[in-house]
Amino acid sequence: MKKECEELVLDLSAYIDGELTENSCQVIEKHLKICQDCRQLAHELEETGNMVKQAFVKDAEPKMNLDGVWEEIEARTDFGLTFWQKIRTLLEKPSIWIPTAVATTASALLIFSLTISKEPTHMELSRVESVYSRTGQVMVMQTASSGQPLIWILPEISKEASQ
Amino acid sequence: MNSKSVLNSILIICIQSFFVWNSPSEASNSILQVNVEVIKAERGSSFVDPELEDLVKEIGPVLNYTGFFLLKKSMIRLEIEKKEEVLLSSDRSLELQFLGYEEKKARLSVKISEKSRETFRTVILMVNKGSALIGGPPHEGGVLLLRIGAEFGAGVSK
Repeated sequence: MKKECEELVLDLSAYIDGELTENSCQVIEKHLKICQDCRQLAHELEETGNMVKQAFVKDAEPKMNLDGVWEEIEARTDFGLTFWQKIRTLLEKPSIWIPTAVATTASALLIFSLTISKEPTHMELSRVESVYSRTGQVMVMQTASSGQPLIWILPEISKEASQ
Repeated sequence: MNSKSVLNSILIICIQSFFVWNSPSEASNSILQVNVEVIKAERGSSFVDPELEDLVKEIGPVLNYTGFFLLKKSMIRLEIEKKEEVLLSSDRSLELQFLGYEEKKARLSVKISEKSRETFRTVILMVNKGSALIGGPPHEGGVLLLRIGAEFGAGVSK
């Protein structure tokens, strides 16, 4: 490459981009008329520049509607409502949640009532408050398993002794 | 009346029913039902009345008797302060008197008389569907055993 060409190559990109002064442009154009290599190089640089510009133009297109795209994805995939979305939907309808609440409360009260047993427990036993026997001999016991009071009237000692 | 009012009414009825159901039942019923079983226990026999098998299991280890005969079974309905008499044998009778309620228990007075003379008396606080046993008086070669059960509350109709 000639020395003149080496100097011109440095400014060739700026020339193609239109960044040089009019005098500089005239010098370069004068050289390009006589130099085949530099003309070829200039042509390649210009094509490359055009490709880059086209690429930037594509990126500069209006932004995509991401919400719309997401909705379309959801519609196509058809996953349905999530658990919490279903709960929220139910709570928004009083005709559904009021009967549900009533039924749940009634069931809870019923279960609670049944749990409170009215049968006597081992802690709640019948008990002897007072006892009198003419013989004067009485034993008050409790049965082993159910704890029922057992009162046993013993015969009179004097009578037993005389027999 | 819209559906919301109807549902609210149902809820209120449910809550009221719950409180009525769990309220002290004896307050709503002053009748005490007493079941008396007159039993003869003896040592010479091994017969056990089928109705007394549960009793024998209960008192067998405590009392040294092998034969149990159900002589009589009575169901008595007592109002507060009212007395009722059950004949145990020709010369022996049982008098029951319902004295009222105390802390969800029924106070029952039990008296045994022989030839119109009181020989035994006791006052027992009975739990609902509970029972008490009284035994010992000699009877025809064995002894008398009384099982006295009490039932009160909503389950006992007036």
